[in-house]
Amino acid sequence: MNSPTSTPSSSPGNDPRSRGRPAGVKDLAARDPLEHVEPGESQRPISLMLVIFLATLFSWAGYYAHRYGGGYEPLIYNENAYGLAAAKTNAAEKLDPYALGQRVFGNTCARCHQPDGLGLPGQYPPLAGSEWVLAPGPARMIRIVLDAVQGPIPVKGATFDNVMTPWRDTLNDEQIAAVITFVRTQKEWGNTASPVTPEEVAAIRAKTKARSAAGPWTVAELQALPDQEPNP
Amino acid sequence: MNAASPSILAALSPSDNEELAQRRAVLAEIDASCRGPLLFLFSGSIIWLLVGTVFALLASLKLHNPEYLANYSWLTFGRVRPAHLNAVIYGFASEAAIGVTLWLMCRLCRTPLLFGWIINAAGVFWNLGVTIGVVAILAGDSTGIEWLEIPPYATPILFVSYALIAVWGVITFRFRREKHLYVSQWYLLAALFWFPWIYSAAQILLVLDPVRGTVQAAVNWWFAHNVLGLWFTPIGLASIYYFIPKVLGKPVYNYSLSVLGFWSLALFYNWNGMHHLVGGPMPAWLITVSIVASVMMTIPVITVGINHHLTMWGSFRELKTSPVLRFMVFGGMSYTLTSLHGIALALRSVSEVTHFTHSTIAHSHQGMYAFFTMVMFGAIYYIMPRVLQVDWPSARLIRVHFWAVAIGILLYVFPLIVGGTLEGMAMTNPDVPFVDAVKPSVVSLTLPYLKTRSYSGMLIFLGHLAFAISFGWIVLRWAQAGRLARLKTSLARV
Amino acid sequence: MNYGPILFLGIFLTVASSWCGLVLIPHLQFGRQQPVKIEETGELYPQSRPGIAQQGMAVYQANGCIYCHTQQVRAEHFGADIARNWGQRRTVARDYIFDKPVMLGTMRTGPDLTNIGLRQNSVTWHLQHLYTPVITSKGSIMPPFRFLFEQRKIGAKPSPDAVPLPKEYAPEPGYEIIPKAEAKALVQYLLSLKASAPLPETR
Ligand code: HEC
Ligand code: HEC
Repeated sequence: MNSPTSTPSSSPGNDPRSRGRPAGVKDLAARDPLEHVEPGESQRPISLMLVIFLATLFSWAGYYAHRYGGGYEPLIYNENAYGLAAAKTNAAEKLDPYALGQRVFGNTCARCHQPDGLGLPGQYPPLAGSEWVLAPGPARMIRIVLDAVQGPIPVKGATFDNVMTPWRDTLNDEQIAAVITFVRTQKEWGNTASPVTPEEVAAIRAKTKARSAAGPWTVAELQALPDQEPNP
Repeated sequence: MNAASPSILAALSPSDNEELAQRRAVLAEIDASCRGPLLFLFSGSIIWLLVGTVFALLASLKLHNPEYLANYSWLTFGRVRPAHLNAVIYGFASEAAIGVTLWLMCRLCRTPLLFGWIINAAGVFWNLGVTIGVVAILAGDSTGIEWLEIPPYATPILFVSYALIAVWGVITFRFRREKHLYVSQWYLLAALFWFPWIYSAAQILLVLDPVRGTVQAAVNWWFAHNVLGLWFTPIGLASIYYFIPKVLGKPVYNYSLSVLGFWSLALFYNWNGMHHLVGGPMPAWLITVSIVASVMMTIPVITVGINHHLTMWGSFRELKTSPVLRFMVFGGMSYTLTSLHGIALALRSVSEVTHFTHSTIAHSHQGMYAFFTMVMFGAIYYIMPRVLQVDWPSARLIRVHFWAVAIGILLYVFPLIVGGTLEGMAMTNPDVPFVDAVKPSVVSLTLPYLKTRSYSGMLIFLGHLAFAISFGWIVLRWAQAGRLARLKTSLARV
Repeated sequence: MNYGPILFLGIFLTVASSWCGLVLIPHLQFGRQQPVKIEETGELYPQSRPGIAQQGMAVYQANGCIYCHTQQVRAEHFGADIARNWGQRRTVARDYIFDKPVMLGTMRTGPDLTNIGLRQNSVTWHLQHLYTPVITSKGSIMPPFRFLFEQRKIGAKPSPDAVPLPKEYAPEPGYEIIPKAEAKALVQYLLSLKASAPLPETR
């Protein structure tokens, strides 16, 4: 093997292998006259700053692991379960019903009835201007949201034949009241019916508990109901 | 321990020239012995780089244009994306890493590459395994486990290949002629040992005989994070530790910092994985432990950063003339940045917002690309002319490569960090709809950033083309030069 | 550090430590959880999925839904998962004991799907959405999975399986869109996704 520095043929220009070697750029050449021998290390002490930094970091680590370690228990999922913040309750902020309703609507109903409340022709009926929504009393709508509705249903002069999703198990009274309130009072859609309270929802939820096992309501069943929930 | 590299003095003092020539001869012999295996591994890795980049571009385009090539099951987003990951991680990055490791090990152990056929066989198996794996993913045969999508009929091939390389590593280390263990070697040896451990543990506990429930997720992220932490990062750092002082002809700034950096990385990095599961269905302590370990990563990151930076100190002018240094310094700085960013992302309060968003993707590319891949590019630029004894044909192509990928990756990472953070802020605000036809929504607000990413991807692809052309060209030159030399000798005989 | 064996020992011990801490101990600690009886309903929870949902899970796996959808609900004080109605409560390890593989996911390019079976239990909706997501979700960037459906000439009478589609997305007259077995299984899997049983450890 030739030593890279001492081969006579390596003078640039003669050697076909280094034709067009770019000027002013190192590293690109096979026989780099500047290649240094293998790298080494210098010995220096570690600075005091670094030592202080390390000590701080280790103390923090101990604190954090203790504070948020949940006692190293397998069934403790809340990092605040032990320690100071356990006392701090995570009380959910109270939202006004309209705002809460908008939130629930956007994350649930809008998937089918669409964010603009107009539904999809032939598939999902509109909520904007729907006679089911704007009925003077919310008795039917609460039932629809709790246990859903299926089969042919006339809405704004068109008939839909599909199935809705029930919300009995996934939305609480407050959320259902809020979303119905939002839908019924959404002025952008021209809806101007009255709001609904969680108590009304709770009453109907309790009353229809037995009925819910039978699946979604049919239109005939709903139409047989009075518009206003009779007072018990 | 040599106090300072003798290079500069030696180069200036004529009395040492004989010895220097001797040492150079040894280096040249080592380089020549690496030629076959490295040519094979680097060619393979560059092909995977191109393939992986094409998948990446497809995935990126599909994300903001879902109808693009939508009717081919093989090209649906959910298959192209893991195909991209596996092609670049196991195809490109691992193969390049293995190549660079071989060369560094040989040079630092001062032994020629022994048993080159082991490496060649390993290379064949590796490429076979990755090919089968990627095709299987596209065909819909993924295991559904992130970073381990390659189905169980391809992984044993990868494992055999890997075992061969590890055996080779042990042999080379055993027969080393240089007794001093340079810092790069610590990292390389560690990586060679760590990777098979994590890979086999993950395969056994997730694919062969899966553990129960979310313990799978723990194993999954212990593995996936360690691929970065215990495989790519050590090899990347080993390369920077070698090439910066090598090119500058200076010793590394501080040996004590090297030691501290190495052991703190070894100690803390492998505990990091659970920070991918912050807020997830995991006992609080498990997450907390990983967050602590992530924050402790400031120690290796800062020490290594200081060590590299102070080695460079006063020599930044060299960046102008040395492409290798340019790639290395870009990589080193990205390492510091991406690590500090990653530490922040691991904190509960930050993770609450940024977890599950595109900013995680930006972060992983900053680590895998802006750091690791750039370092591999630099290393290949240094190694190739030496093992082939031919110069790189075009400095312009290299310049195009550097600027295209450097600008490309910056354009990728920083906008996407911003976009991902905005996405996370929207997502944690329940009053912003997830998706909406007209109103601003979580989906719509990410779109501009996703588009920017596609543009940056094109730029990066351009850079890769320049690289591939350079590489093909230098190999061609070498082949021609060989033919010429043979011709000359046969003429001389006449 | 010129002494190989010490170096090797250190390298071995460090990785062994995290293997113990993040793999072995979790396995011993919560890797053998069993279903429990829910007080309110008297049923065992969780239950393994029915066969067709299992097949659907394979479709979910093959088509990489995991790269855009998570299956984990974070606690009420952490993010807006509960406020977005992605769940009634956070999920815990016990919810996943029958999943192989567990697909928690790490990206929410789309919404969390832990409770999609509760939130959206309409088969038709899922089929329409998978066929072309923008039918039901305007502005969606979810990829269409039309290759899980086939277009068929309508026979003597329309198939009961045919997916009802709005005009703009419907095939040419005389044809109908039928979900392949994979699509049906996938929807059954989606419907089986629910984690709402009130486990004691979620409180
Ligand atoms: C799976 C999609 C779906 C979701 C989600 C959904 N609905 Fe419905 N909804 C329907 C369908 C389909 C019908 C018509 C059912 C039929 O054909 O019998 C309907 C009917 C109705 C009706 C009566 C008809 C009308 O248009 O006025 C009301 C009121 C209603 N839904 C309210 C809601 C509310 C409030 C929510 C959110 C809590 C909601 N829906 C969520 C699909 C859905
Ligand atoms: C490119 C990312 C992406 C992929 C891949 C993807 N999705 Fe989605 N998905 C979305 C987005 C964005 C939404 C929200 C908009 C919408 O409803 O389409 C969504 C919504 C959904 C929803 C409705 C969620 C809800 O809350 O109403 C379901 C169900 C769903 N996806 C299922 C799947 C399944 C099953 C797959 C795999 C076959 C899949 N997705 C693959 C992005 C994706």
